[in-house]
Amino acid sequence: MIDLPKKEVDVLVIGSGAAGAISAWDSAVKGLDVSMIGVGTPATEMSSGCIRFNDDRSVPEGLGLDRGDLEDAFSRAERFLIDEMKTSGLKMEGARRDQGRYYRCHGTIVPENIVQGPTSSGGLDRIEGERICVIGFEDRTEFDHRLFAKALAQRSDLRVEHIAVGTTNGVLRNSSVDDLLDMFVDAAGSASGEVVFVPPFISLKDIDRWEELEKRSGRKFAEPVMDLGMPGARLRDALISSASRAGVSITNGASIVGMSISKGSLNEVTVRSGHRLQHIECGAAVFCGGGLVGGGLGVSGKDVIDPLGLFDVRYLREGDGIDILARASSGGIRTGPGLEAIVDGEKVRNLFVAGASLPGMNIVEGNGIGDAMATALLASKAATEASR
Amino acid sequence: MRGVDVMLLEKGDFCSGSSGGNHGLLHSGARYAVKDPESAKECVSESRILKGIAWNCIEDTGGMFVSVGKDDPGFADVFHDACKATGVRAARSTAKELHQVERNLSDDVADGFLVDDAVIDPFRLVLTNIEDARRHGATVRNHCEVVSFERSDGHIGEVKFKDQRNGSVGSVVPEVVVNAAGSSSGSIASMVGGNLAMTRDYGTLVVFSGKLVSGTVNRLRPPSDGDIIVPSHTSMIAGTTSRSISGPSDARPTIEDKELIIKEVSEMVPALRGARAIRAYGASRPLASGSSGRGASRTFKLIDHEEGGVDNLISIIGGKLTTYRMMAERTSDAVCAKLGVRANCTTGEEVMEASRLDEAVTLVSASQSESMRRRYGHVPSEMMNVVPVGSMGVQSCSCENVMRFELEHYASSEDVITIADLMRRTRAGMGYCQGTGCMWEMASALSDEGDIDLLIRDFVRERREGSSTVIEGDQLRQEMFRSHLLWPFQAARGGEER
Ligand SMILES: Cc1cc2nc3c(=O)[nH]c(=O)nc-3n(C[C@H](O)[C@H](O)[C@H](O)COP(=O)(O)OP(=O)(O)OC[C@H]3O[C@@H](n4cnc5c(N)ncnc54)[C@H](O)[C@@H]3O)c2cc1C
Ligand SMILES: Cc1cc2nc3c(=O)[nH]c(=O)nc-3n(C[C@H](O)[C@H](O)[C@H](O)COP(=O)(O)OP(=O)(O)OC[C@H]3O[C@@H](n4cnc5c(N)ncnc54)[C@H](O)[C@@H]3O)c2cc1C
Repeated sequence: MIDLPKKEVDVLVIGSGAAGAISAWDSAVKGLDVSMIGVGTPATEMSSGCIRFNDDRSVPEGLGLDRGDLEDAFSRAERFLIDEMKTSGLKMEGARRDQGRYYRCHGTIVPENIVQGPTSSGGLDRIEGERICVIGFEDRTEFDHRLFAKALAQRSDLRVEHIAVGTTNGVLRNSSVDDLLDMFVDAAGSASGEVVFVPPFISLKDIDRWEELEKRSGRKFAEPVMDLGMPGARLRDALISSASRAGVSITNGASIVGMSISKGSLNEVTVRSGHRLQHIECGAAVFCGGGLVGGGLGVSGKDVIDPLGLFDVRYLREGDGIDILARASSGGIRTGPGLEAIVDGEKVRNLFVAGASLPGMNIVEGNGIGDAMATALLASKAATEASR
Repeated sequence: MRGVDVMLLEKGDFCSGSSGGNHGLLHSGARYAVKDPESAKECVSESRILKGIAWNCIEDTGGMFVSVGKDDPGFADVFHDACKATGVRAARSTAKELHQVERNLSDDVADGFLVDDAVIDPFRLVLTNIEDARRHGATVRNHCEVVSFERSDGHIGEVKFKDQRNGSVGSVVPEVVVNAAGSSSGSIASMVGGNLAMTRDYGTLVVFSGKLVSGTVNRLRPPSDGDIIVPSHTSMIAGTTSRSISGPSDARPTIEDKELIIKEVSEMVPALRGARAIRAYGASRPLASGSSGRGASRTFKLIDHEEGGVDNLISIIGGKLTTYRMMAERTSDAVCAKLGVRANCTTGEEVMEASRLDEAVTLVSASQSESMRRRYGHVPSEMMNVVPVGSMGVQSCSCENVMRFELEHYASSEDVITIADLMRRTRAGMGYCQGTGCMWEMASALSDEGDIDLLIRDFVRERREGSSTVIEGDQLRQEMFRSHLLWPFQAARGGEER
């Protein structure tokens, strides 16, 4: 192991998913010196990039957070999604639906709303027209256009056709955006649909070419909500870009392996990257390591654990039945009241937890990115105060 | 095969009863030699026959019986004598010799025997039988449940059945009815007013990802819980338990079953404790004798209901998967006697036909044909009609290495209506991720047949039932990941089943 020179920061953010990025951004725009360190692919990037803000606040409220503070954090997170993401190049669009507000990138369409058809009220995405064309790749590396077309046809009275382009494996990955654009414009030309669905393929840096696609073919284009693909990657890129613009120093591929805590206060964090170790002294830290999928939480046997072996972890096993998944979703790092982490039964005054690492914040029970961002804003506020 | 016009009705998919819920051990007879010599002898002759006629369904792995530390040392002699008396081949071996065959055996293994056990794929076996029966002219229908019998003067007339595909009710008027409804045989008999004394004995099995054994490993002691490990395709299956049940509601694996199995089998192969359990399943043994549990004989019983007042009903109950052919032979002998048919049974000699593709014209890659050979016993020629021209096409299930054309081939069959039906035929979805990705591929291949949402929901429910008993550690995280992937889908369905 090689020891790197010690560093000092005001606020250290651990994890660079949605919670980490917005938390780091928030502290940085308040003028603090912020570092964000993350490793691996965050759940944020695997997600469909479709963000739900549930009206039901019972999960974050259950963490002992003040209702008024929460409302404030939720509306700031929504504003961030609209204004700040736009500056980063990502045009987020939202709409109110039955139990909350939903946001996703311009062009992404939630098939659920198509079910409700063009005339339904309150739908996020109205399809103007009656005919739809779904374009996909013959070898369906990431998007099965036939299944999607079939599902659309089954769920609505829209007329759906599907067209396959490309036949070589990995065409999505190996072709340039120009090639793909040409291919889609060509294929759309032979379609009768007014709305054309294509697999999510435009990355953040090429996002304006969506308009070009529509102009050249004279049709409206849409991409389906899809996880493990471009929509999530785009969202993550935009989040990182916002944090970076705000002056956050970002390290990827390094993990926090230890923390030194004494007398209820965090003094130093140990970071490992390959065979290098670095000690960072920080005024405050926010742990946004994610949940069971992001890596911030792990499982040993049937217990939800924190892989660092540091925090107190809450795991609600009450209730009968064998639905262990629901119980595992309720696990997470113990805090509070508020978001101060609890270590060895004691609150740590300058270490906070946000996002999917918190108890109850994991899907299936929790609410995903929206709640992650709102709690992250509360944590950054507390961290900003504690670091002073 | 004997010239009789036959119709087979199955209420679920083929092999969805006990035949699809068992251990897949083609018994050499050794397990029954001591306490159930009659069963042992049946297994000796039948396992030899099956290795010939059902070659594509069997992996002739061999097996062993091992005694562990505290086991009664006197049992080995009793076992050896019983094997000799019943004609079961068993070669006495030292701990060192056994370790040479199975490297993961416990250091506590004292000694044991090498035996002729093998592994049989029940799905493949049943499907091969169905194909062969159809080739011989039988009418075979799955997803068709027998719902009523018309009976007058001690004779069954019309039999009504409901087709699950569209809810329609069909009927036949058979000369003879064979009741081979496994653990439902009792209720079938009582539908006709007949009576059938049988017990239902539930057994649990646990599937682990990966293989730590190359052949079957049995405990050298009188048959009890958790004493067998069977390697199967990409996994291994450990079991079993024995619990008498009264109805279908008790017929499911429990956490206690699973823990007992892991505790017991890991005494033979300790590394099993660290292996990833992916699923628990089980079935009930339809036992012929009045007693239940381990004491009950595993031999079978043929009942002619003539004495009970129904002159054209024959029930066949009990037995083993290993002895299924012999049971069928006795049954069809009885049917032929009733019909006055004189032809002999030839199932013991005629190899069941499987349409194999000549090696020279194999279109798929070497690794793919190896995978297909493992799963189907051969590369099925009729499947090659759907291989996309000029390419191998897309891989749909990476755990089990199943290609899209395989799914499409089976999806086009009238027998296949659910994702689980496709899974039973191809093994897509049986691996450690339990269909996380290939479930969509299967739905896509089937989407001309049914409602995609229903297809997916049924499959998720079925898989979850099997995994909920075992999920922990890595498998729990795997299931969490799967829940995330399903979340938009389920949310889109109005939040049900969340
Ligand atoms: C397939 C999928 C689909 C989803 N779909 C949706 C959806 O449609 N809508 C929705 O709202 N939500 C969805 N979610 C859930 C949502 O993605 C998460 O709830 C949310 O992104 C959590 O954000 P986070 O910032 O808390 O954690 P993450 O995004 O997981 O980020 C945590 C990061 O911290 C890093 N980390 C962990 N430990 C350490 C350490 N010791 N040192 C350094 N770094 C560390 C991890 O590597 C990871 O990069 C989905 C999730 C998945 C997996
Ligand atoms: C846990 C366990 C492990 C086992 N391990 C082994 C082993 O390793 N080796 C071995 O040789 N044997 C083993 N066995 C025994 C073996 O599985 C059974 O003996 C055998 O599968 C029974 O076959 P069957 O055809 O009689 O019954 P089943 O396979 O149950 O077939 C009966 C069929 O009838 C159908 N049916 C029921 N009612 C109706 C109706 N009204 N209309 C139409 N169809 C209907 C059912 O859906 C079912 O598919 C094991 C059994 C259990 C329970």
